[in-house]
Amino acid sequence: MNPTADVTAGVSFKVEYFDEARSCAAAGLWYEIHAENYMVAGGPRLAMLDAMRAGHPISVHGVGLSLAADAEPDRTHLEKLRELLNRVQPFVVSEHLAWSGWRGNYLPDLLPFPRTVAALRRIARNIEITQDFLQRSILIENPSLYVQLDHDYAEAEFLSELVQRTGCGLLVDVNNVYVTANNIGSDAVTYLKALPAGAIGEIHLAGHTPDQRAQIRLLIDTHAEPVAEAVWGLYQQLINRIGRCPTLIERDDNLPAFTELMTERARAATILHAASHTERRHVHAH
Amino acid sequence: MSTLTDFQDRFLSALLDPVAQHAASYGSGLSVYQNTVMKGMVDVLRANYPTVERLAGEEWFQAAALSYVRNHLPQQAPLALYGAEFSGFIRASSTLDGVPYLADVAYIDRCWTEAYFAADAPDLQAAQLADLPAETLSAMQLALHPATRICSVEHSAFTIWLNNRPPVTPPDELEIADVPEYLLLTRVQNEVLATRLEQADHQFIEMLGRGTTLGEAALALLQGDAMLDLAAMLARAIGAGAFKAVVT
Repeated sequence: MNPTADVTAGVSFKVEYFDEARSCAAAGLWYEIHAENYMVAGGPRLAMLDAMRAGHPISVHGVGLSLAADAEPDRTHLEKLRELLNRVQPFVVSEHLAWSGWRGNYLPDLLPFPRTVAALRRIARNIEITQDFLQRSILIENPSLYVQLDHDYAEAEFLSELVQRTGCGLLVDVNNVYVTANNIGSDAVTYLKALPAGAIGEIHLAGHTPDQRAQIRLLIDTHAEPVAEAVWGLYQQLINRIGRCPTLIERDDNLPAFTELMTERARAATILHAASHTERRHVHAH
Repeated sequence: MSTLTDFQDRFLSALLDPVAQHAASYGSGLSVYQNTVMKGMVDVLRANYPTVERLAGEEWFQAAALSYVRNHLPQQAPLALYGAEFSGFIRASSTLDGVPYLADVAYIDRCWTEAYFAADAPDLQAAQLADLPAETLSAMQLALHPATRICSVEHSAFTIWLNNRPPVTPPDELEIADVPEYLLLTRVQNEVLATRLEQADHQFIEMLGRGTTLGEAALALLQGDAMLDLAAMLARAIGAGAFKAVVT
């Protein structure tokens, strides 16, 4: 069986959902894990992961490789990631267009940077190092942004350049596009149209929360709410343009009942079923 | 033109020091990153020290955690084991007169986390030693299982910890003798188990863990108390899953 042939919509895997998630037999269902949570020596968390991967396709989503730092990726981190990928055999691997490690410290967030020519060169090199080390291509996710910086490239243009230079694919987080458009004053529809369709290997849908304290109305990418209607609308347009693509309902905080998450997941699956089938070159079978 | 390195140095200093002069240039969005970074670190401490939070209260814990994380930034992206120095930080804290046990409770929480994430390995089974001649047994070194932690604490901290570690419901009243206590943490079938130890059992396992042979450890203990039943002590420790299987 090719476990990825019929992969449609997935949900974030959380240990709280273990029993229901493992036994859920919905067609095309898959789960995504955050790589760093499983970079431990042993114990119940890895045992749980082994049980999950026995029944469902898994996507490994890294949050700590710090590809946009002005330094090469940490070798120890790459080794731990490779070890995890060997264990899980994921159908797709992704990371972020952001940085989090700098001068020996690690900040648990996805931090912004100015999209300059030098940054493009550095990040392309870091993606190449990572792909060479892992012996597979990875997807790069667009971040949610909260501050204005002086950029040389528009974000979609920057991501397209990375695709061309490194052969990486893209993970399009539609909520991040929406949140950033609100916070920075860009246009979400134009942005999504500018992304190279053939490079998109995965889509994230998540909820956001308005920041009540800020003077300017910021939207925060909290993953603590259901997916917003405006984001569903952008998603539908994106799928109309690019065809079927593995889509994740991403939830990390304020966790609802598993069935509630599966209801959102069913909505994405319905949209995907109605769409045309497209080969995704960054999504691999076992 | 400034480099990516310059940008990262400046952004990080603004992130970690909100009163830095250039912090204002990033606008109110900077606080979103500041909040996420702080919350990320504090949430890990909260997950790793649940008994401390239960005993000291949410408000104290939040303030202590914020103060800790500012001076102990993580050194790596995996955060499962973040917060190693938190019990020492609590011990040095001046806001804790009247709760002398809290640092030791934190220490036990820490050992629990280490036991939970430690490497997998088969346990030593008593049957593996059953047929060995006395002299072979006496010369033998037993390795602790990677998940085994042995602790000695003051102020009855183990009794306090055992009665307060979530998800247990704390008793309305707890009689505390304020004495030293000894405990063993092991991981059995993927669950961390806490076992109370006598001082001699603690000493025995601790010596074996340092590589002392069974014979030497037995001799040292019997010199202190000739009445000790070492065979029973060894059987208890093996039964609790303290040792790694012997490779034969």
